Amino acid sequence: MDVSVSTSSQAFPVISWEVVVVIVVFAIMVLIPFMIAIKELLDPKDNKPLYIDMLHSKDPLYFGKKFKKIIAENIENKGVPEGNSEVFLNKMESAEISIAKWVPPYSNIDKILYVKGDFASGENAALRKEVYIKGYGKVGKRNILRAVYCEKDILVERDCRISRWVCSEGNVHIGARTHLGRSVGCKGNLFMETGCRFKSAFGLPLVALNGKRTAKVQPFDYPERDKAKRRDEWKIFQKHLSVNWTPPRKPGSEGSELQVDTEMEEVAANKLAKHWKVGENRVETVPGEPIRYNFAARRELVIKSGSVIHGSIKCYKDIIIEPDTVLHGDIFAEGNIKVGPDCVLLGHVFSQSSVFIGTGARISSPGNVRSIIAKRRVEIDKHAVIYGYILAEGEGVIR
Amino acid sequence: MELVVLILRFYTVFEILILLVYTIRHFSFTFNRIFGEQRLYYQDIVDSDLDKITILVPMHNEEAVAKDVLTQLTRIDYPRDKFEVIPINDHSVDGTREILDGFAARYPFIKPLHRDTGGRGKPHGLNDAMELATGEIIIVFDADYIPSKGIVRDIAICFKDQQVGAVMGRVIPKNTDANMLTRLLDLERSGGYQVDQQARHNMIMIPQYGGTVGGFRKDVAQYLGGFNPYLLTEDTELTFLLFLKGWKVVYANKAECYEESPEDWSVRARQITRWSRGHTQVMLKSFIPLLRTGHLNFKEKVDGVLLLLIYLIPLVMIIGIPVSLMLFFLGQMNLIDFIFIFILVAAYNSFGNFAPFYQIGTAAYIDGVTDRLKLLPLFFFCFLFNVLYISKGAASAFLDVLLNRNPEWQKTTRFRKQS
Repeated sequence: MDVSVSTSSQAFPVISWEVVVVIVVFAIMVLIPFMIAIKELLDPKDNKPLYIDMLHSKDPLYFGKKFKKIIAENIENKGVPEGNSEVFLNKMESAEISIAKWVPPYSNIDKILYVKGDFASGENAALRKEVYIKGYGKVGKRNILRAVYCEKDILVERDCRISRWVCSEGNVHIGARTHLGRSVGCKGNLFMETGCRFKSAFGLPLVALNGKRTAKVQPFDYPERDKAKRRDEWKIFQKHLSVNWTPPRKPGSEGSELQVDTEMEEVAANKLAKHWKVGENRVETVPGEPIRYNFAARRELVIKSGSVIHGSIKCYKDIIIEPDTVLHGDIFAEGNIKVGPDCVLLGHVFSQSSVFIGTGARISSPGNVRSIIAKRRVEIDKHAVIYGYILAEGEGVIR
Repeated sequence: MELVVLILRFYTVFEILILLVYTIRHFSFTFNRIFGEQRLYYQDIVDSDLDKITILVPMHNEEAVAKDVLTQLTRIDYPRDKFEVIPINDHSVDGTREILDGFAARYPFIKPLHRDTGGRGKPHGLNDAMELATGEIIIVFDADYIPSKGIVRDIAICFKDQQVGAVMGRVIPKNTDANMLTRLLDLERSGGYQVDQQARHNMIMIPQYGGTVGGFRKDVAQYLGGFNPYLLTEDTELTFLLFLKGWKVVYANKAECYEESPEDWSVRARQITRWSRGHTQVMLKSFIPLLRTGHLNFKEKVDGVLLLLIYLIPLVMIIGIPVSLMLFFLGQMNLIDFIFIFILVAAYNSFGNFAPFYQIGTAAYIDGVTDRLKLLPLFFFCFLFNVLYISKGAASAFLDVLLNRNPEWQKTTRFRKQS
């Protein structure tokens, strides 16, 4: 390329055609993105505000309640008759409405089941759509279910696979090694045997069992066609499992004193309604007088056995709570939280990593709903009792 | 002359380095959001014993929007005995008072505060309302916001963590489809919240309390002296005061609330000038204490400094233009070997200019709305607009200090038609 300047009487320099081409191509390349933007402005494809569910509110029984509402609107209120029907839930679905329902072993059912009475299934059955039970429910061994809602008690036998959720207005008993999909929750007692896996669980309380079912179950077994008659009214639980929950020790009986490697600094102390302290290094408590304030630790925090703490604790690493500790506040940690056997924690347990609840530990108390939340795993040992909600973004498991 | 050239060269290198630092900052936030560990917020905590809260809604001539926000607040999912709403009628001359009294007559938990005397402005209103509030936690919504049913619970629950002093939710523009400005602001907001704020929460840095769709502890705010009526961004001041005293501010990405964006460029200009001026005021107050506090670690201090200085960057860039021109015409642009300058400039133009764009793009991708990214080239004009008015605001803040003057609070004009 060259730009030649005429030495004749012309006033302006002559620009060669190659330069013109380069300028034009450059201008087009600069303008192309703007042309796309202008087109989107004039003919918008995506100009609506981001969607916010204005009615959403945190509810541990959300899935079940939503399903119940859909069932009420589309089946109960419309008086759909017994038998097979097409009903509109979120879309047109095949449904079977029955007074009672028995699903034989090895069955494969691909429609929504609405049962006005009791429900039971034999082993190795597959129920690919949701099940709504107004009576008692019993899900046989090694069943595959999508989701089940039960207005009374429900027993899910061992080795089942639930892909979405289980919800009950009564009590729930989940057999060993059952995978519980997204959520399991009930308004009553939730018993879960060893090996159960879940994402979230809610029970009042939730009790981790060691695999031995302590409640008697009368089997439910009658032919499907015998809808009008039942042998006996049957109950899933003869009695509730007796929960050996003891109230926290009274202050002063056994306590702990804060002893740290370095000096604890007070944070906005005294002038605030609630003051608290922060330790820059590893913090360990030792038995002594009860601790009556909140405190935080930038490194590991170890609450020694027998400590009593009237306050909340926070740690930017791991927290280890040794056995027989009583904590009246909440626990927050960036690392893992390990709760030893027979601890009593009356507040929330919240970890950006994992939570391990030891044998016989108690989280919260009757009438008080608290939560265990973990970014990774929640592992619960046998005989632990939790009044409230558990959520593990990774996985929850009963050990 | 040599001294002048030295100063100009030093300034140019300083400008390049500072832009490089912010480039790294923006990219680190973007990469964290895409590849990094996402830290939990507290919204999944279920608690039967929620704290008592007070919801404050500052209003000045808000008859166009007052009904919407108050209607939503009557529908929130929170125990009725555990919350109250105090709409703050701040020297309104339209029908705001009548609207508030109407709601108060129907709902006993709505207790309007009518301010006809005393200082004007949001800080004054908040301070007076805090004296009347019975809740431990204060949650603030601006009058043009439309809160959802569960947002109040999601905001309030984080205070179960005793170290949390304030929380900020996510603001989402509702009037996105109004015009080009609102569409660009929607993208800007997405980048700022979905990526920037969330990344700072993930990396345990300095998320910012934004003064609306957020909350704070009442006793802490009062202990810290309440809100300074002579600062235009009292929310930014609260953020830094909390961190300086050892408290934390957290960000709640799932606590989303609709807002109304400015639909007029002049209104937007005033808004961003005010933000810049107020933020720079806070910077002048908090810079040294931030460096000296013992409550923050090194990472938090670095992020705090960068956050405080962010509204000065456009001013630095504007000053850099004549500096570069002077160096050029003095024939003194050879700061170092040309090839290094070329590489530096080319690299910055390839990546640095696009660092905020990557944030916006990442935010849109996470939100699942990618067609609107076609508007990104128009941010070039937004960039020029922002540089101009942010620089104006920052310069005004310096003049405020030099001339010992106090700025006057300005309300953002509303565009919604009265419902």
